[in-house]
Amino acid sequence: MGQLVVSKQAARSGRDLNDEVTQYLTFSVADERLAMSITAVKEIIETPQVTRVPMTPDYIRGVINLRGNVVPVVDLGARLGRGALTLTKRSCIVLVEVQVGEEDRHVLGMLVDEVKNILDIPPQDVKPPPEFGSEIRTDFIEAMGRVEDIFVIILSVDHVLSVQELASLRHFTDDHVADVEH
Amino acid sequence: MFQSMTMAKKLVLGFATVLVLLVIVSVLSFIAIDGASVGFASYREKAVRANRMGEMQANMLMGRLQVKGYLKTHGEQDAKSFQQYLGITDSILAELIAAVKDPERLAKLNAANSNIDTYAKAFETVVTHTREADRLDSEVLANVGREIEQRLTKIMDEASQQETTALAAKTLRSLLLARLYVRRFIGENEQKDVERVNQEWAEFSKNLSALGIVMQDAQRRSLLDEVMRYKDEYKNAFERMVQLTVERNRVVTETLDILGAKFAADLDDVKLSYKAEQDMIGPQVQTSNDRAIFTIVLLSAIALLMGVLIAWLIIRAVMAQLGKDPGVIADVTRKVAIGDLAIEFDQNNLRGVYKDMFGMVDRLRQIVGEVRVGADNLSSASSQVSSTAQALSQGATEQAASVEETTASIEQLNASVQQNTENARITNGIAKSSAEEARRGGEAVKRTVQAMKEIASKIGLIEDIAYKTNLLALNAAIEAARAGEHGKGFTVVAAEVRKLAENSGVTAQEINQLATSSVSIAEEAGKLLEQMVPNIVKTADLVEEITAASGEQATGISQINEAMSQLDKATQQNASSSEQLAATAEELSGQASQLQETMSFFRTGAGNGRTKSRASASYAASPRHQQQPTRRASHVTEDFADSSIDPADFAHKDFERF
Repeated sequence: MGQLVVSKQAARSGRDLNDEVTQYLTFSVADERLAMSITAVKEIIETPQVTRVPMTPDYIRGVINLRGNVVPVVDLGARLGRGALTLTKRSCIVLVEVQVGEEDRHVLGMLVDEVKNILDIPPQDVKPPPEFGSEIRTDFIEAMGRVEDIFVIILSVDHVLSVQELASLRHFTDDHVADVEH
Repeated sequence: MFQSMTMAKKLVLGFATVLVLLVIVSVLSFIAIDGASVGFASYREKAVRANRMGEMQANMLMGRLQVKGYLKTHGEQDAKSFQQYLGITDSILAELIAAVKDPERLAKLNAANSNIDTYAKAFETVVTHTREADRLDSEVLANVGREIEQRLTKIMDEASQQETTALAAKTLRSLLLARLYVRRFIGENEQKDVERVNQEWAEFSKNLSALGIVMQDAQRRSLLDEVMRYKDEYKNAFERMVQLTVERNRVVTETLDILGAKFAADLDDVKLSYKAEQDMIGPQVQTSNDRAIFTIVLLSAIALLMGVLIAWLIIRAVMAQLGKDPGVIADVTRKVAIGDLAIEFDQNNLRGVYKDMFGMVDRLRQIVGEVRVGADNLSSASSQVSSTAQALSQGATEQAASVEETTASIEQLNASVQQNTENARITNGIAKSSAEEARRGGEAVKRTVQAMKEIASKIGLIEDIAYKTNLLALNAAIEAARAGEHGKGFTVVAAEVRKLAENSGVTAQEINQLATSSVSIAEEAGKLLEQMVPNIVKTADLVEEITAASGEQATGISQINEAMSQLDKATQQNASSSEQLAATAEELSGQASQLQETMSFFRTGAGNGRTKSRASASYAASPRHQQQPTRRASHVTEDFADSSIDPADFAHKDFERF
């Protein structure tokens, strides 16, 4: 169900971006350069103290205190099958807003090695994901963006932060998201 | 044990044993003969004493016989004889008393002596009494009696009256009877005779009184008065005689008879005790003599046997030690003395001294052979020494020239060493100042490094600022994007800010890299300077050492100079010494040939050693000495092959033969 919603949103955003240049935030995870649509990004922050949460999967790094709100953090390296990332001076958390169901919107953190820059990729340079050959599961990939003859993988945020995991996290993010809405 | 003793000990032991046995036999014989002699002497003494005793007894008995005779005859001859015998007895007795030691016998002899003395005194008394009695008898009684008889006879003849005549006859008869009995008393010494005499005398007295009354004639009357006077005298004399006789008889019976028997018995006892002792000693001496003879014969037999045994043992031991008759050994010694070592030994009886002689001769043969070889070697060596000495002399002269050159070189060396010392001192000062400067340079580098590090850390801050600025720019871009059309302008500004941030970050990183590399370079420079300091210090020290060493070198060189002058002298001496050495070598050569000559005295029976030694000597004199040892060795082996009996092979051959 969540998947359906995301794909709709993706289709809508794709339609919206057809006639204008879309901006993408690029970052690196385990020496791979990835990108995601800037519209999903809410904020970039330096890595604060992360509190580990027991009884959670490996890719849940823990929770952080974001101006008084509890925000769960997903370790993107672990999530993408590259192993848990080691924290450096340049490690950042990219806060994204994810819509769960009709109403619910959650703020999640993604731990990345380094934030690179913001790229403008025209729609004609955005190609659909390949059928085979990628090390990453294809449903994580939204599209392949061509930047100066190099393809950058544009991650599908809703797939990466899948519904079930988000649902399992709902019980300690629910209230705060609602507070943010109001 | 007997085998291990020396021959002298064996001989001494053997003869000592025999002599000890001889001494034992002699001592036993001496003891036995001495015992026999003592016994015999004792026996002889006893016999002599017994003889003397017998002699004394005979004299004493003869004395007693004389006494008896005297008592019978009253002869003076007997008294004299008695005195004679008594004297002999007394002398013998005195002799015996002086000689006899046995107390019992002595007591008996003394008793006998005193008894004899008493006896002699008693006999004296007896003689005195007898003489008195005899005198009374012969002088008084006989005269007075005859006077009375004559008067009475005259009276009787002249009497006219019948009655008076009868009475006178009667009186005369009484008188005669009295006198008869007196005579009889003198002969018999009987008491009854005395009584008869007294009886007759009383008759006589009565008749005489009666006659006195009867007669009236004056002449006759005077005769009768005389008769009356004589009658009293006679009577007194007779009584005196009786008294003496009784006394004498009493002495004879009480003293002489008892004492005579007593001392005779005493002396006889003593004599018998001597005899008994003789009887006892005789068989004792006989028995001990027999035993001594038996012992001596037995011991002599044992001594003879042991003597034979010891003689046999000694001969055996001596033969075991000598091995052969001394004549044979002497023969071998004589041969060795004249140098003949080719002696045939009886190989079957090699033992003792003979075996040692064999070993000695064998060893001598070997040694003579070795000495010959040695003499040959000596001869060759001496000629070698001679040529070497000449070479040495020449070398010494060359050495002298070299020494002078060396002295000059050392002078030069001395000058350069002085220069070195000065230079080293200057270098030392320079090195010290360099070390100080290097140390200061190192400190400066350290400060530089510190500063560089501070710069690097500051640049890190700038980098952080750039990163944060970049993040802010990104966030601004995100905000602008989210603002849509309204944020377009802001997006451009954000992009510019982000570019600036990126540029400053990149520049900071470059500066950082530069600073970091500068730090490492500066650190290296510091390190190098630090390393330089000890090196320079060490250099200074070394230079100081060089200075000291140069001083020492100068001293050393002066010492070398001195040594060179000594060396010069020594070289001169060497030259003269080497000449002397040449002369000595000549002499040595002469002595070596003399030694060869001397050694030819020994005949080993292994060919003629003298010609060989001459041949090797000629080899030694030849100029090709290098080949000489091998040549001579082959020569020696040839000689041994040639010889009929090889000295080294001699014993070996013998062993094979047996």
